[in-house]
Amino acid sequence: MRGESIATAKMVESNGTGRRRIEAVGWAVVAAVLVALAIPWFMWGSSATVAGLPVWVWWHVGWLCLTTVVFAAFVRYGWGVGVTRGSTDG
Amino acid sequence: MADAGLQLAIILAYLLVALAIGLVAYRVTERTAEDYFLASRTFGTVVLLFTTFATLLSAFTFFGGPSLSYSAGPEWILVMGTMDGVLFGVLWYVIGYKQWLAGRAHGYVTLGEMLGDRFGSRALRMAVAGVSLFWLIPYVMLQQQGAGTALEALTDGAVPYWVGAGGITLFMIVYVTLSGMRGVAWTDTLQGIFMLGMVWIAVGWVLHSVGGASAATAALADAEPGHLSLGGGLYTPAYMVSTAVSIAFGVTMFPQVNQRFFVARSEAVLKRTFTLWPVLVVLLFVPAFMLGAWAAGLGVSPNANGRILPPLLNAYTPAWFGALVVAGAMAAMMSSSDSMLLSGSSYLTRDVYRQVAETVTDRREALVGQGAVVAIAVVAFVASLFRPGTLVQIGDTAFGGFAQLALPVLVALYWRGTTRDGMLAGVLGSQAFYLASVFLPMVPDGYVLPGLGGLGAWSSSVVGMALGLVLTVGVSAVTTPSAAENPDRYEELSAE
Repeated sequence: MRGESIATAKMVESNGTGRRRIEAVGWAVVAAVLVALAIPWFMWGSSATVAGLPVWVWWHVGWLCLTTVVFAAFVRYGWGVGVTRGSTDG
Repeated sequence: MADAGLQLAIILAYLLVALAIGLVAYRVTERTAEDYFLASRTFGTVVLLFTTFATLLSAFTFFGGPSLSYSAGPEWILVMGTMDGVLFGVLWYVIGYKQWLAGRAHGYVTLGEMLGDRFGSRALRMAVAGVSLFWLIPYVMLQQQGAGTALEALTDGAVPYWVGAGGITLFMIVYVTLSGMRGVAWTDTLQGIFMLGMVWIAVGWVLHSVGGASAATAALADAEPGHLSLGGGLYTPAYMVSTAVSIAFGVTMFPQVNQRFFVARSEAVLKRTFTLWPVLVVLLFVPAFMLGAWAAGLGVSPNANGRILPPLLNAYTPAWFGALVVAGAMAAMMSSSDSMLLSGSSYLTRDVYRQVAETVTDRREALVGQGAVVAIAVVAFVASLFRPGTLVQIGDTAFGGFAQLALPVLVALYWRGTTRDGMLAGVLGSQAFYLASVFLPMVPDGYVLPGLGGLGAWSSSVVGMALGLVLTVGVSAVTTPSAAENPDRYEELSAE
């Protein structure tokens, strides 16, 4: 009985570690996308304007607002990932 | 100049308000090092948000940035938002949160202290402090120079450079030595809110006078059509990425910012500050830099110091408002400098003085800390009178210099296999390379990647960061930790 419960605990723990690692990688990808597209590279050379500002400035303003929303979601669902739990050396 | 008296009165009134706040903070500050340098780790969201924000801003927000947008187009908005809004936010979590946990668990006050304890190395601790002070002091000097020349220009020379720069220095010495971190953070909060308000009023005023944003942008399209298109001229992809990466990582290692990772009262404060960060950055830099960009279409020319904002405001707003904005610019400059003085003093006191002096009490350490504030401020002020070319160059390249520290620190925080020798190699090797690129003509300061020439040249700062990473990891991999090292120091930390 005792041996069985230790084995179960180990399995749960290793599943947990795996999930945390996936979570950490997922959030890292999100962070990379946030950084990479803060500059709208696909508008390179564009000088179109809307409402008095270049469209690429509007994109940036919108993107940083989105970043705040994503940061808020991270605080809620991901905070601690890679730092207090599921760090690479576990 | 008839308005000079009024303008000076506005600036003096502003300084007095800041001083009053410093005095209130003095009354509640205890005479211990942790309270003097870190306000006993008690800051809430508003104060932490604005003190970090104000500390990040310098004369660049009002002078350098708008002037660059005037001459090359407003793409600096993107560079600033990417580095301060997004990348710094991510680093706030990856480096800042981990440092906060470690600092709270083990009582660290400085970065050098944190590393010295983990690696059991006084040499590493002093090396990090030494490197930091090397880049910090010339940077303080540049801020004083900015304030001195701004006052001189505002008053048409009625306040000579040395009186302006000296007065500001003296003023900062008084409130920083008296009130420590608490006073600095409280005045930063006032300064941050003040700056934000000034920028938006300025935009409203100028746009109202010229018929709105669409009219201003149309005028810019006529005068400088290239400025509205994304990229071109100064702005190559490599320039934008290099600048954003180098400054974002550099900022995290600037002593006054790095030390703010230790001061939050609770995890909730760190979380809220982190979330609000990108919006705050957009709110300040989009209007500030667009003002500079629009000036190119409005036929305004930069003043004798190459600054565009003061003449733009002179053209479209009353003199008293221009003085308020210059006061805002000095607030920006002081909010960086006061924090730099305090942090520089803590590095000097804890990482250098305490390492060589025997039996230092808390009270005595706080006293030495106050003395160090005076010493750093006076040295930087005297240097600003002579402005030796070498020091100006060190100040101008300081962000790159601090950026070299970031990756070795990041590796140390997360990889248990990091060794003391790896850290020393990464820190000193990258510094040597970067310094050589700044001062030695045969070491280039820009690098074009083979096959990627179309992206432009990558800065030596980014190349040095990569070198530091390779050295830290590589040397750690081939050396074994000494008995004094504690690889578990940053593990098993929790917020509870």
